[in-house]
Amino acid sequence: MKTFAIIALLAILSMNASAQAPVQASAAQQKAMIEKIMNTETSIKSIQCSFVQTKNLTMLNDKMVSKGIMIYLKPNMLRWEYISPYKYLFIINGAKVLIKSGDKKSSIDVKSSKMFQEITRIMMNSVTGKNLLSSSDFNVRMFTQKNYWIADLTPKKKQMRSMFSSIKIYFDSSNSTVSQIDMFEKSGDKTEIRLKNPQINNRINEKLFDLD
Amino acid sequence: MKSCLIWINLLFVSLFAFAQQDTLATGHRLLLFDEAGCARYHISIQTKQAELTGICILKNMQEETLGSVFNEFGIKAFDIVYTKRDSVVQLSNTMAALDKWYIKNIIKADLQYLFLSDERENMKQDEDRVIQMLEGNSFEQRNLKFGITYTYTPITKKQEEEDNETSE
Repeated sequence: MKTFAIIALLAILSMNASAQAPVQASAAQQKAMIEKIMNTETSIKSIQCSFVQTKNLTMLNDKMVSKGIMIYLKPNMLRWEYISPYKYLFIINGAKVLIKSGDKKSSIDVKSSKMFQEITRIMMNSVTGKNLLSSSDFNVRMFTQKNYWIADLTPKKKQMRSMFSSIKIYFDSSNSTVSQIDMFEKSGDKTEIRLKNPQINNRINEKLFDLD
Repeated sequence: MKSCLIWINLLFVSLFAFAQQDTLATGHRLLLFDEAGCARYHISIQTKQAELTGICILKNMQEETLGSVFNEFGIKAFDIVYTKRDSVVQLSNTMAALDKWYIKNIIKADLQYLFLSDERENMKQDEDRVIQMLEGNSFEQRNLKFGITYTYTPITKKQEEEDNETSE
């Protein structure tokens, strides 16, 4: 009886583990998933949502949670605003970037720094999932887990590798839109960004991307 | 009139004593550690060429203080280990742009001055470094030799909780 109970318990535990673990997609599945994500990406004109960012600090065994609002407008406008527990605004409008921290504002021409150019491009492409197509930037492997498709991106470029060991983008499999981005650092730290209640193709006021 | 002045004087003395007691109770003169030994700051580093902003989280432990500095997006600048016994600061996981020995030496020396000023009442004057208290428990540390100004603004647990409640 005791042995039976142990076997039953082990069976339940292993079933649970296999239900939780991401399963790697076959080459054909991966192609189909990326195609569907790209089709969705093409139809997206704008995204507006709130987000919760959790920075997990390995060395301190602590985390920092920040919240904000993200607005994306095709082809090249992004407003990324932290509202708590600090105020920080980051706007990409074409080749220009505005950073507002507290009362201080600074604008940057993205073309002046190759690294900045890379970061802004990858930020924009992560929001829509377009990163999956940039084969020069990442090695891409697709996984499925519950209601998600997970793109596991390993950076190819040295500059990007110095910041992240990998990036995971979670897509809601029902509508192929991005719902979470996890960024892993070599130090073991992880930054998780959850996009909440995304509103797709709502009318967006372009003034929100003004750099003045 | 004289009695009024005495009362005002007594009030100031008692307020000062209360503030001193508060410092002595926590054992820290600058850094605001909470009951879990954690201090959170929004930090701005102004140099002659640029200004960087980010978050600095410190954890006070028995023999050392650990810390992490990262930008608002979560990208790490560096980790800090301050050993209290020999007052030594070590940096690790430093981002590529800052990972130069001369930059790290300046940051380490400035952080060492900050930790010593936080723990010692009669800190020896340093002709290259000044710390000045600002409003709301913020403070500013200036490195006069290299023209760097670090501004630390506390992010209190209470503020985080209030923000979380409002946005939930």
